[in-house]
Amino acid sequence: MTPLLVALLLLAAAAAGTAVVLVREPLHQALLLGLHSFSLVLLLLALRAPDVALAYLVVGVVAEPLMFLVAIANARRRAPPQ
Amino acid sequence: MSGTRASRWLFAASALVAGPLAVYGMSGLPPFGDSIPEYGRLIAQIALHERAVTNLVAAVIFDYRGFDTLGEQFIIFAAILGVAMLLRDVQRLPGGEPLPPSDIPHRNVELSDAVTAAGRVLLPLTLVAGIYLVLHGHVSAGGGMQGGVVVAGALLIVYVGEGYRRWRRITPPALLDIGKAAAAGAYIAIGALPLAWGLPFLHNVLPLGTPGALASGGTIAWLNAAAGVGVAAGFALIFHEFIEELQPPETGGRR
Amino acid sequence: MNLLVHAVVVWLFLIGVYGIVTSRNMIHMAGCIAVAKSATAVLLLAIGFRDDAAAPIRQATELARGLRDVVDPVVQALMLVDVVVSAAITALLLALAVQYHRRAGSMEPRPFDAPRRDNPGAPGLSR
Repeated sequence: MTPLLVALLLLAAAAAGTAVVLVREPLHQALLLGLHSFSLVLLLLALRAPDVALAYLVVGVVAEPLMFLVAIANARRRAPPQ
Repeated sequence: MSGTRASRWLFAASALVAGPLAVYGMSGLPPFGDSIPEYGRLIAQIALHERAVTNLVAAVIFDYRGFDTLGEQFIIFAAILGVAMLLRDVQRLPGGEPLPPSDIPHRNVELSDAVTAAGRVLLPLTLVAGIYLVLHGHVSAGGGMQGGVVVAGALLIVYVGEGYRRWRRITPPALLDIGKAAAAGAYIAIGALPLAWGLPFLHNVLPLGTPGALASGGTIAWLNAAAGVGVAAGFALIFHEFIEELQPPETGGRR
Repeated sequence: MNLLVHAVVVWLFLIGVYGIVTSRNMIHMAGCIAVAKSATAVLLLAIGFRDDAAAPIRQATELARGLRDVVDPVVQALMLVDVVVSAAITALLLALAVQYHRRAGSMEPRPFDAPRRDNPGAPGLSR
């Protein structure tokens, strides 16, 4: 059971990573980054790494997409300096 | 942009060579799931006896490889410095002195009542969860750093629920600066404690206690707490720097 | 199984580099760098994995009853520190992207001395 689970989660992580790269709009990419990190969290749990999974969860699903969103909002509002 | 075509072909060519070569190179590793490397096996055997901690990963991070974590604290430090330097725009008063950020007038954004209510419910839960993760980092799954990021996220709930001004008042960046520096300094101070007895830096000199209890592991628990506070303050500072940039002023010039 | 693990690792890394090479937006590039970074996490944790072993969190009772088999705690420690650090580095990358946007007028990577997209008269990157 475990090898099958790990294999499926590996493929899911690879697919999510491909989606992150191929989607060009930064706003959509930020959310897909959260999804990719979440698939990685599941993979890490299957690989018996709860500490790393927890770290990836709080960082990759919460902190990093948030920073992306704020950076995108920054870029949209920014007018050129005179 | 010219050259994109050429760079794509170049990438395809090098990937077709590098990819299979990398897979072939990795085939020399032991089979998946077979056995773990020697160092890990050794630490798994001795850590419970030697250091009386049940979380082996915490034992490695804060004791066996404690010096690397010191470097990590300072990498976060440097990253915060870099973010602050890059994002801070100096808005000048007519006389020429820079305006302190809190004095720049900010537009009051309309906050939804539902979001504020949800934030007020979630904030204590998240805060307690984060502090729990930090305190029990060396006992069960968790750790100072994960708990620190959760606490930083909890502080962010204040921003989402209460608005920019209140968030700035409740978590002033000056306090976070002191917190981050104090955490990094505490890490060094705890590490320097053994030097008084002629022992190496970051040697575990506090009483070890019983494994599974909150007071176990000697310096591991304290270094864990210091790292947790450092990461929490660090990430909160990074969020401050980014979101500060987002606030459009009443008067022009900051953008 | 072995081959699948190594193939996924190499795929993640190469697709991340492909994203960096063909990206036309600085923020998108930062996301592709994050994907390339995750490849190392998968590889190291796969090296540390062992069939039918538990997570490296011990119970206090194991002192008396004998130690269980666990997966490698050292690589997990390395990866944990790496995750937190890479978040700080991503913050730095995004700050660079915002600063780039300020100076160059658009998020697209362009030659250093090119004129600004949104305001061709104003000073650009190389002022």
